[in-house]
Amino acid sequence: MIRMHPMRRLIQFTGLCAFFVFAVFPVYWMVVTSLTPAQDLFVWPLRYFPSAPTLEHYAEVFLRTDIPRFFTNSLTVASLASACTLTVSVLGGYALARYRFRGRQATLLVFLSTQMMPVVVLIVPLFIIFRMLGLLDTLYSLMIIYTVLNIPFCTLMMQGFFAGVPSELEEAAMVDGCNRMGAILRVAVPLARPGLIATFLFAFIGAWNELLFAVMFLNTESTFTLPVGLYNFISKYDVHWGRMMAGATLALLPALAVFAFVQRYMVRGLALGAVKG
Amino acid sequence: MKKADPYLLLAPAYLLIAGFLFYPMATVFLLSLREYQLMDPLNTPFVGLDQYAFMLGDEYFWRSLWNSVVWVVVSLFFQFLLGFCLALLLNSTRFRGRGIFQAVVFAPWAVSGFLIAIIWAWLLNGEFGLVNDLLIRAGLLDQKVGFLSREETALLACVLANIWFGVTFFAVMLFAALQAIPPSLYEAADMDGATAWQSFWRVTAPMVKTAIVITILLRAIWIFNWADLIWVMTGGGPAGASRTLALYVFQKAFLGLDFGYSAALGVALTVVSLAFTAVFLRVTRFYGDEAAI
Repeated sequence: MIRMHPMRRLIQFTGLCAFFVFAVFPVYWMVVTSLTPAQDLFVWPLRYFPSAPTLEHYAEVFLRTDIPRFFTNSLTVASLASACTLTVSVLGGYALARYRFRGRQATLLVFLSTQMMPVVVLIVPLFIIFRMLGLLDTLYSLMIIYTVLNIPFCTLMMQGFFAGVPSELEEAAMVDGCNRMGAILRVAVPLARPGLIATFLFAFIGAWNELLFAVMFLNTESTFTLPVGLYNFISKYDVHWGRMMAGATLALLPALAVFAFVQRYMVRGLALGAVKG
Repeated sequence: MKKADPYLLLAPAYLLIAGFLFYPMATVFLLSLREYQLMDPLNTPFVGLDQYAFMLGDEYFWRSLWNSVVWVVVSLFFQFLLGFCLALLLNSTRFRGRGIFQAVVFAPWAVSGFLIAIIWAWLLNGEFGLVNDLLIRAGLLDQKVGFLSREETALLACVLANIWFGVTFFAVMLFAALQAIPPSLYEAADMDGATAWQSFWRVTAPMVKTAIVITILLRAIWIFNWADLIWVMTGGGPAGASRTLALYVFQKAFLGLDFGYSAALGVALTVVSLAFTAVFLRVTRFYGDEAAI
């Protein structure tokens, strides 16, 4: 191994600590704020530790706001959309991994280039389309668009996972009388299960976090997803920061739980050039 | 039958992408040739290139374009610099708990643009924000500054939040590239008497050059098109001081309800993105296939 100067070690240690603080601190502050009693939040100079940590903001969020409903809406939209995404991308990814066909390269290129599409430009035409379909102000509009936005990347991702599974087993299954679809569902899919889970969760994070389409398409408070509901906290009232941070913490928890699971796959996902915020 | 299989399997993906990505994208240009106010959707006269003529004379358009340049360049510069440092640090040390450390440091990736925005809006709050408190305690400021409500600082405040979020992306990408360098190259350099500095410039740098170029290009396109963060943090204000082109497209539709002009701005945004994409594809092909797919 390489010998280490103590000096070099010190620099490395300091650097790593600095990055750690930089990454963690804003999130830490969000959590601390959500636990600080209201009268401690607005004193100057600031108190870095709450005099008496409290769950009052969380209680308010649950009892006096519609956040539980927004939470449920988000959960519904994100799970259904990512289930649809997964179904479509398992089929597509399988085709890209197992067949050499005319148009394969073009498909890969088109899928990759959609990742560079300015999504914000789609808001206006999709608004008009969904109005024609009568889907505005419903969660269906969001399910559709979240599904579609995640398909190209998730298909590329599934292609990678299927490519890593040997094809001999499927061939054996087909010799034994399985048709192609049966071979996919009974052999390839179970073998690629970690990949399926990762793909599902990537799609889930994307849908869970999306704000602009939701804010444009939804009008009625009962349909709001969590980002829209929280955004309304800012724009409507004088911002109630304690409650806001409690809501934000609740919104972050599912995403972080998912992240803990998928971060191993992140390198692969990012290398595909497609993971968005 | 057999020959049709891959197309059948891909059909749902093709159909959905065509219907909900490419078709709407194509209609944006047609929309931009009309006067289309949301409040009056039945009266959408064809106006030719009028929207574009208006755009060229719209000082907010030019300002938002300039803001986009600042937003992309400054964010990228620091994301790259810090991300590369983090990747090098992670690559050069082995310690117990590195896996956990990595997971924690990479965690900002899971935070949505929306949450980043509210967390940083609170940190940078002009009255009870932590950043003000720290700077005053350190003696760097005399009095509180409303970072988000001042013209000179609003955009940079958003850039700061973006840097926090994006360092992770660079660190992950470049760390992967560093891990792929065969150790034998360093041993050979060592044997030839190279200093640490020399082996960095002669071994590390050339080996990760591809990853750097690709990451920067991808990220540039993505940041250029990203509107959520600024919208929630400052709403583009004060007086358009932090409004980027992507945000202008959204606000014209959402607040202005002027779909025609929003579409024209969207076309401008798309043209710039396409130019970037063309460069990106050229470069990835130049460096070989393994880089992109």
